[in-house]
Amino acid sequence: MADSGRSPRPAGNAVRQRRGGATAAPARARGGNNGGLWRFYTEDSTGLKIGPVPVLVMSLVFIASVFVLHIWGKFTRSRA
Amino acid sequence: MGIKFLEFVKPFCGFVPEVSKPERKIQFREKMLWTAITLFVFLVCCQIPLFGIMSTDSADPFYWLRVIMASNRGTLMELGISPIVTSGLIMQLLAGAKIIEVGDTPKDRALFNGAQKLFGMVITVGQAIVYVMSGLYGEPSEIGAGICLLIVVQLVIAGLIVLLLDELLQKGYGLGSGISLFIATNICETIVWKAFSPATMNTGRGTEFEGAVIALFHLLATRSDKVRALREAFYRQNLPNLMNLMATFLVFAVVIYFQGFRVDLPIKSARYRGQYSSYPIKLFYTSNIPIILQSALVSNLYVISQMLASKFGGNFLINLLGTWSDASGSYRSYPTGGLCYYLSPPDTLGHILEDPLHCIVYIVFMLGSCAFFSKTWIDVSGSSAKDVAKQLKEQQMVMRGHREKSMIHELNRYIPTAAAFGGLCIGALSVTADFMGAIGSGTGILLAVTIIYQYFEIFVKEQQEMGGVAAMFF
Repeated sequence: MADSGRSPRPAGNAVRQRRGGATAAPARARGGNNGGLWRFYTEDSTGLKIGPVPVLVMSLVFIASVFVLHIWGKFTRSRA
Repeated sequence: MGIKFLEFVKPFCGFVPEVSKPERKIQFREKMLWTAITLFVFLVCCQIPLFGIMSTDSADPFYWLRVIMASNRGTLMELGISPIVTSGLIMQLLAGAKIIEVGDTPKDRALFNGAQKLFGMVITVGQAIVYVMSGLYGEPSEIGAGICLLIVVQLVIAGLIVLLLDELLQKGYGLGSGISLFIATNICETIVWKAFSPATMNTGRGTEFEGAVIALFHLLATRSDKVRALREAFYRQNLPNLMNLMATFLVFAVVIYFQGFRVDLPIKSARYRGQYSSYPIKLFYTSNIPIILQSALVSNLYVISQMLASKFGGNFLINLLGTWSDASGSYRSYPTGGLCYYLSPPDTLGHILEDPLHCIVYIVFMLGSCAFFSKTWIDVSGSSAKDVAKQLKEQQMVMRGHREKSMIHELNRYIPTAAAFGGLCIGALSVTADFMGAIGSGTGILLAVTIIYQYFEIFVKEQQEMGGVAAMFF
């Protein structure tokens, strides 16, 4: 009794898998072998963790400070 | 010694900043946003000049490196991505040659990545100091110690930002990787600039526009002899002409056409009957890797040769490596003899007739080195027949009509051939593009096209997951 109750389920599973697999498999396979050089940092390594927003803020602050340096440089040079 | 090296760098890796992985799935629109922001930061950094530099008038020894390193002279992006690429290449090659032993465990991989990044930062600092000390921005004694330090600090922070931005995209906040995005942007910028540049130049026959398309309309409008004006617009020698532009587009089209060439190996699931699929092996199996490795090698050779020639010019061995001429009024010096001359592309088609030996050596070298790098790369990067077989086994797929043992053998029939022949084709395309005078050098265009094509593939994949173009944006 238990046997007959279980048997339809794997069959149904296989049908669903077949439909899903036919489209998913090529995409997965294709992703594997291109751009090998550019996959340097995909795995997590052991470092100071920072979020994406701090990176953005940091770069903007850096750009702004170089701007300020330029303006300050112009100012002092014109006086001298 | 292998394991010891990773153990040795372990304590230092703790200081390397790292972007954390996103905890939730990033939506496509958000990915686009992050990619755009990254690009914006990069472009701004490309325009802001370094503070404290005195002069950048001398011939640029790094002209040959600029294309693949996405760097701009005298700006915050002076170093561009060169530290990342150099450290990545060296570490991957060392790992491939088994000099550094890297295990398969995630912890080992993580440590290796950390070491790669640390090495990249060390290279950034080293390059920054060498650039300043070698007097690239004026004599160090004239600039003063304080400003010298300031320039080094600017270069190092800019390098760190590039590293973090690249990681930001790779970790899944954006699309593709920072490195390829920056290279493609840099090259496309050059092409658009050469086509539409509004800058005027005073040639012998009156002022002409630098941009090829603008020059066409200008010449047609101002010259009375329209046929000669057209000929001038198409064939002028000193400035970008329409033939160059058309050659560029032709190369674009040909490379995209070749991208579609592939062999589909039939595979089926080992677990479920009737689940069939195919494993595509592309002609460009290694994509743009051979061209990157080849140009990295050649440009490093050029830089070394130029530095040696300027310091100890006249020495027999150094002349054998390369002699250089400083063409007045141009930003770069040309190789005129020695090994470097034979490895550089001929300038014009007429030059081929003058010196056929140069042309032959160049073609043989390009094709040979591209095929060689492509073939070695599959072993280094883990896309050789053995790795693919392992990957398929993990997905519980087998090739139709083959057992597991013979699968490697069967894959081995295709993969090394595809890699070597694909590398050869990439080399040949690059040579052709150079001969046709395509804008931004053959190497540059091939890089740009392959990167853009990769992005196109990413878009298609995202679109399939989202279900339609409309779902992607709204």
